[in-house]
Amino acid sequence: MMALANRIVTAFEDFVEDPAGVLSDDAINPPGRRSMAGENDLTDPALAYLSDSALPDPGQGCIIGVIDDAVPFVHRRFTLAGPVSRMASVWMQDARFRPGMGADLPSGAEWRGAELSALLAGAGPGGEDAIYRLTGAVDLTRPGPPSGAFEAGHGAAVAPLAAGFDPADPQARNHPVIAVCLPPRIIADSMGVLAPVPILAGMLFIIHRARRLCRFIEARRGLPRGRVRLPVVINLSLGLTAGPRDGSTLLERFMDAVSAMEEADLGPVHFVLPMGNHRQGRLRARLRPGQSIGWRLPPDDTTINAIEIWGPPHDHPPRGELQVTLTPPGQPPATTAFTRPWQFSVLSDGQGMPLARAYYTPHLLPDGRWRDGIAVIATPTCPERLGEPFAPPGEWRVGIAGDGNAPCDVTAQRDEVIRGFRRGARQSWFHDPAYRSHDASGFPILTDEQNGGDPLVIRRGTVNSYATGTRTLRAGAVYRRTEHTAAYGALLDDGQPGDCLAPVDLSANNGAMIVCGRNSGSFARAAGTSLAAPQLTRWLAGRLSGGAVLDGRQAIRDQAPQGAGPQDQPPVLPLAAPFPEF
Amino acid sequence: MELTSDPEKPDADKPRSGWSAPKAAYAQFRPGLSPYLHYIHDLRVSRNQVPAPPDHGPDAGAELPWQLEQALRDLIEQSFR
Repeated sequence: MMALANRIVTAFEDFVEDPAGVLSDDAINPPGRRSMAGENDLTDPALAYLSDSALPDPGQGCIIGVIDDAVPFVHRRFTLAGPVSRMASVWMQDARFRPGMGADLPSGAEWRGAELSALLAGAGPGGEDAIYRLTGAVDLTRPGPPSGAFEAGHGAAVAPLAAGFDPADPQARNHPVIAVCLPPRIIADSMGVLAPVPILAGMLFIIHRARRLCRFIEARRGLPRGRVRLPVVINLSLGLTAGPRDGSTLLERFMDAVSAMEEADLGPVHFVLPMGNHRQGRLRARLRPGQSIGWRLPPDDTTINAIEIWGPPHDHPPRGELQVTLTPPGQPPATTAFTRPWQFSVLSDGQGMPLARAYYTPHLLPDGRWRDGIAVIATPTCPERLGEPFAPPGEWRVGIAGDGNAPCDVTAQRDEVIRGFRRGARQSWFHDPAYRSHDASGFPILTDEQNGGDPLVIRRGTVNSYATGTRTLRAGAVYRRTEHTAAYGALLDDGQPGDCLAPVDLSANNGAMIVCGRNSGSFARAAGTSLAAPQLTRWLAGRLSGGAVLDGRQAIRDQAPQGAGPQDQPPVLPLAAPFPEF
Repeated sequence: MELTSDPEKPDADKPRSGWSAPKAAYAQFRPGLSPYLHYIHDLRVSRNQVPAPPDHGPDAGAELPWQLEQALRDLIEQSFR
């Protein structure tokens, strides 16, 4: 336990070093103040995780963890009658550092349930907003996008779907919540590639606080140590579109390892992720050596564009067998010449202007084999600042150099703007004349089989690249009216749209659902598999709190209800939380 | 006077297009190391927001895949010790 507490502080020194600049200066826990978590959270009322009236049944509780942006932690749907908070702990990673609480954290502010209950009890009209300002969730004097102040947002939509209940709902009390609010600059990054370390830190936080919450419940109820072993379901409605997609990334292997653990002081831990929304985005291709494909970079894009190329597995250590040939518009083809892991090269034009970079990133796979990878990052096609280099927009060509017949996976990273955050990102995509987006009648073509031919750009294997481990659960979206898979929903390698599906959009022509806004009673419309994952999280937490033993994807699928949609598709869960009428 | 390039050194001063010689992005493991983070850090260096990191030779990152593997094992082991 102490090791884990220490780990949160020490393992993420680089989170605090913050090479990407995602943390505000005043968010960092000064080195002199960092300390390991002790045992006084069991006895000190100021550190209590929950008020006594919010303690779950030791035999029927299930902790729900949410990692997202701007989770509205005092929303009415996270309370019991009183009001009493069900939010056992919330960590705002980029809030101004809060001395006293969370000294074992590398940055930000932690608030716990008992003190949130006290704040709620003392809140007058407009109380929620006052609490967000008091706790640092909203501070318009600080740099960075003030997403905590947004009327509606990603975290406000996701968290209540995963863990929100009417205060009078008898299930509510058995679902304490632990939330992590990521730094807003993570969400502002149009590619999402800066997120893995803050996400890992957030997972460690949830696991640590979940174990402490179990001990806290034992202490408050006078139970022997180790008696309370609540299961945990962690929702992560975030993802990437490029990556090895073989479960070998640090985040995926960590989630797999944690899910496989059987610990004496905590129940099983499950991770739920969205499938992704880019089936039709033309971000996924498969190339053999000697083949090339067009990569279209839009003009006026102030953010970088990136692709990743992953070769076939092999048995020997990496020695530069994978090389790529890049041809920017108006430039001659140029082939990389990597020889050692983690080398990079800069591609320049005839005037010395840097147009792109390539990094050689081979991975050691869990089975001991190797996989070569190369990431290509193109300079923005519109410089963000005067004097900075820029790359030509238009069709670049990407080819796999060398011989051989084994296909390589080629994926483009998403580059999208979330409302409220920075603007200027424009999505690149692969261009392949053999790929057909629509049929002659104007209907979208949804599968590779429907596309026909042998296109280089494919729809299979477009799954969120955080979600290709062996144990994470992947949630896809269906239309509520027909229970057919949403056209945008990504596909696994076998063509399935996920492990379980959840209703999101009303129909293909009414693509959204009503979700909670930041303040109790407010609402917004949103879409995407980000909203399917929390519904699976909620359903799974309900099953686990009812005593179900669900080990592995198939066991969970077997428990889920078969919907009214096509028979060959995964189970469809009932709409988790119909938006309440007012 | 006619301005011409030195016939002895054609295009001697003109930068060559193409990839630069490879060099190591990192010399040792650090949490979250990624091409994207390296690019962004270099961008921040060019904007004088952070100091420049030391230059590494082309072979400096050769052990990184094994260090990544060890770091993962350490993280999992210490998380549940």
